[in-house]
Amino acid sequence: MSSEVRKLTESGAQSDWAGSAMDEARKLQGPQSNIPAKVMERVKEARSAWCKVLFPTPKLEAWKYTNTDPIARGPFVLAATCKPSKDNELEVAHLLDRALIKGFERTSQIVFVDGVFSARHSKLVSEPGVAVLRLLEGAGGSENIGNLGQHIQDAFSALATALLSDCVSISVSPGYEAQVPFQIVHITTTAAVDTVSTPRIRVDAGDNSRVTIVESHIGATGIRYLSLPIVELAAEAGACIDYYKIQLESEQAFYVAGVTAIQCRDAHIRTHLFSFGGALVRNNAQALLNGSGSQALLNGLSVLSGSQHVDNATLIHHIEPNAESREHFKGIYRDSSKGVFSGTITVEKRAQKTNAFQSNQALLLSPDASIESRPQLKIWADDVKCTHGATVGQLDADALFYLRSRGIGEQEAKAFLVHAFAVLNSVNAEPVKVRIEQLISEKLEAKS
Amino acid sequence: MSLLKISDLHARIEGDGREILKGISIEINPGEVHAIMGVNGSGKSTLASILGGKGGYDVTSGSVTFDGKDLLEMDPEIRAREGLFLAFQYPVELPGVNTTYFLRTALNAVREHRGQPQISVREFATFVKEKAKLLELSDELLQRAVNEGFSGGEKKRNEVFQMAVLEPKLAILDETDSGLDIDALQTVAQGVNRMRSAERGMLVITHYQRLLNYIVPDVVHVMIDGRIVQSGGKELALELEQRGYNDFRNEVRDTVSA
Repeated sequence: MSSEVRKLTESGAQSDWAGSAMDEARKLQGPQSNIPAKVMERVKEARSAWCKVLFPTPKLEAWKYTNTDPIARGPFVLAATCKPSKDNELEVAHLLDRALIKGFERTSQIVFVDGVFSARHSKLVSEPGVAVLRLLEGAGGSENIGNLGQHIQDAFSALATALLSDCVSISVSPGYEAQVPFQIVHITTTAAVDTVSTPRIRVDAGDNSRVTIVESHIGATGIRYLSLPIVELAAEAGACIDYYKIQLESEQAFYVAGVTAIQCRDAHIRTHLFSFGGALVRNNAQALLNGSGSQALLNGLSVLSGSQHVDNATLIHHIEPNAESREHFKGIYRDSSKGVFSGTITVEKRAQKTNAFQSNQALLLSPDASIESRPQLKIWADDVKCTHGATVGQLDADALFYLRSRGIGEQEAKAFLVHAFAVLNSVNAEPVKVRIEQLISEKLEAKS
Repeated sequence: MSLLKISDLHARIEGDGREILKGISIEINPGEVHAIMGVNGSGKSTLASILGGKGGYDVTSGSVTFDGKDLLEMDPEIRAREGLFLAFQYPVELPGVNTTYFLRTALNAVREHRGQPQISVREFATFVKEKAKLLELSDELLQRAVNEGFSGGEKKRNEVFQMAVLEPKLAILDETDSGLDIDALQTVAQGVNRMRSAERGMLVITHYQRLLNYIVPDVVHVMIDGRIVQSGGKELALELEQRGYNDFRNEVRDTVSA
């Protein structure tokens, strides 16, 4: 993603809302904040990286199908410093209720409101092998925040890191299997101005540990804002992280997310990205297979309507040998919605015996819906197995007739087929599976 | 009153001037099993599709009444709920659609239409087990996605099994025998025969006389080039087998040209 570098001189006239937001962010990031010195260094690196790259233009290959002009025009004000804290209680309660997934026996609940951790909405279940730290409080959070380097490689990661307002870090001790899944909810509330927030999560799973994280992003209906969330997942040797992201942002929202999963030897990170909301959405998701025997699963499902645009730009990076990656992105597109899938698989020369599988499937429910699918393989090793495939289709008329001929009504028959298409067998957490089914139904039944 | 009355039905494929059905008339009364025999391309599967309500055909003239109602006016799901069942020649695979869930939804749609209460998950499980046994379908198949990875025989047995579950007034079996070995054929025929009753009608469409050894029809119709050229008792099937379709075709040609 270093190709996104753009010279300042080409940038033309852009609103400098980002510069003003950065000034605001500096106030939060001052010496009183307890941000670890190493993390502050990365914030500074991100600031200068941002000043070099600025917003990407469609001229850049990586942004060919996603125009960020509306984001660049803004303006957005840093949410963390512009909002009064308590007068939105009802709205928060309502959004939280919608975002929380029911059906888990217990969960540790972490809630961010407008990019900042909200202690009064969070409910942590204490576990002996699990530590949860908040950046702007007490010990100041993990030193590891930002150490995967995205903040200097990619424009929006740079911006999100420069605007760092808060972060929660979760670390799991070696050998410990966390019993209680985390539910993290990021809420954007109504404000007098359009806001930008940069909620951030860092997860460190020690050797042979295990943890499940379910993260949801939600905003008040009809409001316009920019969300730049970052999640960093690091699994040490033999560790396993199950990560689910359910994006339910407002239909006017802009959303550019960074997801980085790094797995050491024999570690396994399973990432699922579900996109339902947002007007303009981009997921920059990376899985780094940085240890022999590691496994990465990176799956996604977009269910879109109206004129929503969701771009999943993924990179599977095989650095060490004998690792396996599986990537499966699906999309269901109604109305004039648009999907973009750019999936890059890079296999380094030393990463022999790599197994990499990628597939992208799209179901177009309307003649105005569209999808761009771009697989890209960059393979430097000679003994690898890499496969990729993409399919685009409509609902199968024969299948539809078959269902109807058994007495099932047309709408229900269509829903049957759409749900069947949407199934991702890799979802282990039953409550997530059930919730996703509900969200698909809502999305399909909603009036266009 | 007849169960199914097809009167002088003419039809063609949408957007294609060529007529496929050239005036079909058949009347099936409750309790009767009719067979339509014909070679590939004679229009017999088109007839089945039109009766089932599949899109892509234009009915240019004629009518079909089912239990006194205009069948051609009904959507496919309404036909099913009214008691029409079409066993497909090529059953569709539905990956991701669980067989049991699919069938319970279908049965409940039919029951709702008939003013009957919904069947519970538990009741349905017992009911379905019984029916599956009749067709020698394993529980494992019922837990799988509809027809996904089923063998040809399993797919056909699954069709008759669905018919047993939905208990239609009229069953149309479109080449249910094709692709079946003799054992599978017997199982399927047995399943069909158990469904025969004084109220239920059946229309068995086949290329070969073989199936009719097991499902013995009351009436046999020979269909050639979109027309019923001859109707008669079960012995007509044997006669056709002995003389061959060509002989019948020549006869038709003579009649038409005469």
